[in-house]
Order: sequence, then C-alpha cells, then structure tokens
Amino acid sequence: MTIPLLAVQNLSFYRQDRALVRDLSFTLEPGELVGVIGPNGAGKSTLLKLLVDYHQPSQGTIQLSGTALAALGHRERAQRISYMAQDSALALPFRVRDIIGLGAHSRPQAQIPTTRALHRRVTELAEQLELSHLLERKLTELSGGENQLVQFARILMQQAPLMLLDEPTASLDIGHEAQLMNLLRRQCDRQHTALVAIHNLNIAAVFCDRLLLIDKGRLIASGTPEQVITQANMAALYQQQVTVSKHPVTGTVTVLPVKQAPRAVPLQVHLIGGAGSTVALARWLLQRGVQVSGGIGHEQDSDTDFWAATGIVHSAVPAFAPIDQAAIEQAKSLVESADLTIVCDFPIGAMNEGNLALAHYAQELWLLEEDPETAAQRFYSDRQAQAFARLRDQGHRLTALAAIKQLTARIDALSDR
Amino acid sequence: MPRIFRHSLLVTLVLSGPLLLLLYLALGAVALPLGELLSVMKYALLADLDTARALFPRTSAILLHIRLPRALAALLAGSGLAIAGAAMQGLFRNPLASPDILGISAGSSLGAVLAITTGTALLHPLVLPGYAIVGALLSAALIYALALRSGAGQQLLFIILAGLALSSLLTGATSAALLLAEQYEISQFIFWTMGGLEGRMWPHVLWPAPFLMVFGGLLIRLATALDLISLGEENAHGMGLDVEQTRRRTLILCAVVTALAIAIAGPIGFIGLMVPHLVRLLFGPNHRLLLPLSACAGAWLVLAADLLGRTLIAPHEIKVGIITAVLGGSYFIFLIVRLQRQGKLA
Repeated sequence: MTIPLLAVQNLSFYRQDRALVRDLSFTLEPGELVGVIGPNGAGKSTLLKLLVDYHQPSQGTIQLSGTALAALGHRERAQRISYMAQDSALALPFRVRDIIGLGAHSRPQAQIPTTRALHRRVTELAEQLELSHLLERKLTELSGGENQLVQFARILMQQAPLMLLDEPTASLDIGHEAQLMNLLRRQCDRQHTALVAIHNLNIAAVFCDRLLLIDKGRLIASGTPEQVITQANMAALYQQQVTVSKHPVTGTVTVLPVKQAPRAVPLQVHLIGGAGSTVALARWLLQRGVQVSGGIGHEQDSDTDFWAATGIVHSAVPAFAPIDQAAIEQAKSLVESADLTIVCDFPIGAMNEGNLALAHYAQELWLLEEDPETAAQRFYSDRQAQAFARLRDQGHRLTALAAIKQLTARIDALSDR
Repeated sequence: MPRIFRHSLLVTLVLSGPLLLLLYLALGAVALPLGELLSVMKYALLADLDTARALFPRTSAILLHIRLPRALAALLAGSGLAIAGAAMQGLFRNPLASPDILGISAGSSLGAVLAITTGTALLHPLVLPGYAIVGALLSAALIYALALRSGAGQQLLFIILAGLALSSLLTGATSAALLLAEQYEISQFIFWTMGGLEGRMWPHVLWPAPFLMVFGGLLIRLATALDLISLGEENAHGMGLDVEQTRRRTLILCAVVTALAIAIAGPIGFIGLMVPHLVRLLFGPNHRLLLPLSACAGAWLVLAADLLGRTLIAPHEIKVGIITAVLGGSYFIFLIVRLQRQGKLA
C-alpha cells in the first residue's frame, strides 16, 4: 500500500470548549482535486488552517507523505503545502508583480530564481492567468476578484505539491471562476493535489474529483460529487431550500435554490403519466411544497428522468418493458399512501396500460382530459380504452387548468392551518 | 510614478546628503569658512588633529567639539527613528503605526529620565541607553500582548488607542520624574518630551552608535519577512514565515533601535511616522528598499530640520523637535485628509 500524500486521522480542534472540527479522517492522493463543502461556519476554513499548521490540532494527527506535519519547519512545510487564505486584506500598495514574486520565497535555497528569472516566470504566469495587464498595478487598486487571481498566481509560484485554497473563487465572476478552477484542474493533472474550500456546490461538482461534506465540524459524507451532493444530504443541511438534479448538458449534479417552498404542505400527490405529461404539474406541485411521488414510468422517459433529477420518489420499469403485475405490486404503496392520485393526459398502449390498473388503488383519483373530442386517440387499442372507461367511474375528470385551480384552493386551505 | 523619475529622485536623495552635511557644518550661529572647514576635515581624517588645531583653532574647535558630534547625533537619531517606524508600519500593515504613536518612544524617554534622576546615568555612557531600551521593551511588550488579544479586524484601532493612552501615561510619568528630581530644568523636560540636539557630545553619540547600526542592520534583514507579513498573517504563514517569531523580533528590534535613537537625541517627533510614509509614497512599499531608504531620508530630514532650527533665528535656536513637530503635524493632517478622500488607509 502506498502512503497517501496527506493523511488526516481523528482530527479535532477545540477553541474555548467549542469544537470547530470533530474527529475528521480522510486522505488525499497525488493528482486529486478535492472540494471541501458545507454550510457557512461548518469548519471548512478551520480545517484548512489546521492542515497548514496555522492552528494546532487539539487531537488527532496530520501526516504529509508519512511525516508528521508538526515536525516540519516553517520553510520545509511551505515547500510542500501552499495556502491561500480567504481574505488577504492589503493596506500597503505593493505592485502585483512583487506579490506574485513573493511566492518563490519559500523554495529551497538552490531553487530560488535570480531576479531576472523570477521576472520572466512572473510574466509567464501572468500570461497564463490573463493577468498581464495588472502586473504593474498596485494591489490596493485592484478589485476583489482581481486580487484573488493575483493571490492564486502567488500560490502557483510557490510550486508546492499540495495546495490548500480557502474560497478562492468567492468574489470572482462566473467566467473567472471557471478559469481559476480549470487552471487548478490542470495543475492537478500534473500530479499536484488541491484541497479547496468552496461554497459554490455546482462549481465543486463540475471540477472536483471528490468532495468532503462538512457540517458542524464533522465529516458528513465523502466521495464523488454524485455520491455527496444528493437530495438527502442537501436536505439535511439546507432543509427544503435547494433541489438536486442532473444537468442535462454537462451531466454533473446541479444544486439549485428552490423558489419559495417555505413550508411543506401536508398533501401527498402521486402522478401517473408518461411522455413528459407529468413534468409541468410535478414542478408546480414541488414549488408549492407538496410531496410528490411518480410512477410507474419507463426508464429514459422524460418523466422518469425528471422524477429522478428532482428527487421525487418514484417507481419505474426498464425502457421498452411492459408494466407487469410485479411492478404494480411494487408501486402500489405509493398510490395507496397518496392523498390524491392524478392520471395525466398521456398516450396509453400495451407497454404502460398497467398504470391504469395501478390507478385503481387511489384514495382519490383525478383524470386529466384536455379535449373530450380527441380523447379516444389516446388509446392504441380498445382494451386500454375500456380499462380507462372503468377508471372514469371511480375518478373525477377535469382539465389541467381546472386541476390547478382546485389544487391551489386545496393547498391554500392546508397552508392556512 | 515613472521609473526614470524615481531613479533620478533616488540619486538626488543620495547625492544631496553630503552637500547637506557640509551646509550643516558650515552654517550656524558662527559661520565657518568652507575652505577652513574642509581642511580641518582633511586633517581629522588623516588623524592629524594637532595640525588642524594649530592652523585653524576656532574652526576646528567648533567643528570637532560641537558641530560634528551634533551632526552625527542628528544622522543616527533620524535614521534610527525612521527605520523603526518603517518596520512598525510594515508589521501592522498600516501607515499610522509608529513608535511615537504606540508609546514606545515615551517608554524610552521615561527609561532615560529614570537613569538620569537616579544618578545611575553617570556610571557609564551606556547606562542611559540601557534604561531607555528597557523602557521601550516594556512598552512594546504591552503593545504585543494587546495585539494578540484583540481580533484581527479591530486590532489596529485598539493598538493605536492603547498606544496613545500609554504614551500620555508615560509622558506624565516622565514629567513627574523630572519634577521630583533635585535640579528641575525646563530644558530637560523639553528634551525628553520633544527631543533636541543641542549639547550633544561625542560620548552621547559614539557609545550607542555601533549598537544602533547593528540593530538597524538586523531590522533591514527582516525586510522580506515584512513583505510577506503584508499579505496577511495567514498567507505569510502559508509561505513559510514564522509569523509569531517575526512579530516578536520586529517589535524587539524596533524598540531597541528607537530607544537608542532617543538616548542620543530625545524623542524627536513624527520622524517614524512621516519619513517611511513619504518614502513609500515615492518608492513603493517593498521593504528591502523602504527600510534603508527610510534610514537615509530620516537622517537627512533630522539634519535639515536641525539646520533650520539653528539658522532661522540665529543666534537663538529652535529645538529640532519643534521643527519636526510642525512639519510632522502638517503632514499628519495631509495624510488624514488624503486617507479620507480615498476612503482607505494608504
């Protein structure tokens, strides 16, 4: 077994009896870009400060390639770890060029570049980061974002194999944020390792190999972005304020704030549909704090994708497989426990006619029908039409618009209580 | 600022020094002929003082016993105060920090006065500087403890307020010590609260001089560390600097250098505040340049101020501390207005 670049074991840090970091253990391997995420005050910054020996742990050990961190001298440590603090308030008007050059300070004596070599290196680095126009400016004249890029350049100048960055993109616009993270990514592809405290979860999901999710000083979850940024984890941290989905273009997990679902409404609605017929209604219901379930869908169908992406409890069968009795049995409980089951307006054929059987278990059943004239065209054969006709006796038929109106009234009544 | 302007300014600054020194030595209550002055200097440098005294008795007496030690005192005190101010401003990342404001000067003065009033100063020329150093170190220790206690955000405000309080407390104690002394002289009081150069003789200057140079040199060696500190303590730590050690060393060296300067010429005001700020404005905050240039500029400024004080209403003298207080006070107001306009410090 190889020794990891960084090994943290049972790390705890107390300040005035308050635990800021509790019993953290994890390792970093060369070439990894790992994000530390968590709500404000979770202990992300404290963790980084412990790892750079700015704070000394109350308990636990930190090892760098098998050497105890505390055993390293300041200079030795700086040759192995670089650190970018969250804010670098600067009151003195240093030139950007000089600041970046300071990064070379901690290198071993033999590797400290000559003034001329340093000048060249700084110029090259600034070109890479598209900072050339700032080189002769004073740091006190820069914007917060420009300052962060300059500090990042300084970190790169330090050439340490492990980089710790505390919110490096906090005041960057989205373009520069991506630029900085891409540069960091490229460094990691060259066997550098980076641990980045980051509050933008989407950026973390796009760029990081692994994530450490921290809350109240504890490690809540760690693993790939998909494993860590889940609806369940996010709900635990941010309640119902955010929703996790898979981005259709990038394919990475995406966290978005949810607009106004302040209170969960005590109403559970099960949606039956296909070919995207449930999407609009499901979204509408979710935004109002209604608990939604869905199914039975087909995998890779747009409804099923949406349910999965928004974390809706649902059941599904493989694409192009018929909905059989076993699937119905499985989904039955969802329908039975729902206060209301809505069968959306969708084409019904041999593959999904099982859904009509499922609907019979509903406590209360609504059937959405847009246009009674063309209703017959929804069915591929008479068998499904007859099955649907039987449902009509049990259910309440209405248009989507009418359904929304009635639901609004019901949600309002429930929220007032 | 254009490079070429900066470079020519630097050259002018360095070259104008010897010229200023020559003027300082020549002018005063008694003007010395330049030719005689140069001849005496030549003989003095050749270690042939007897010939000088024989040829130009008046000039050599005034020059060797009065003006030369006084000039050297001005140069040493000015450079010491300015370099300590520059380092303190770098350490606290703020152009308002200086030994005056932080109470270190007042601590030195009190130490020096205690050495005089207890009579121990008569034992050896280094006793008074020693007392001054102890006073300065105690003040610095208090400031250090305070700096550690308060959070980073409000640190400076607390330190400055504490420094001001400490300053007036110590100045009061200085006055009290002088009042209680047997032969109270108002000139003594002014010397130890405002600084002055009159009556500075060789023993005042030569004993502390080597220490001042050594400790000043050590301070210059901290230049890169101070550059790193200016990025914030956490970043400096990340770049391999022992922040705590740097902080302690800088404060101790600043206190010692300030105390030595004050032992020579009293607490000449505003040099530690004004000179580094001015130099930073012209040449940037890079400490490798800032510290030595501040030492130079401080030396020349005190020399020039004393030259003014000796010649403005000759044969009467205005104390150098009064001249620098007028200059420094005006500069301080300019600084505050400038900071207000920019809405930030620097």
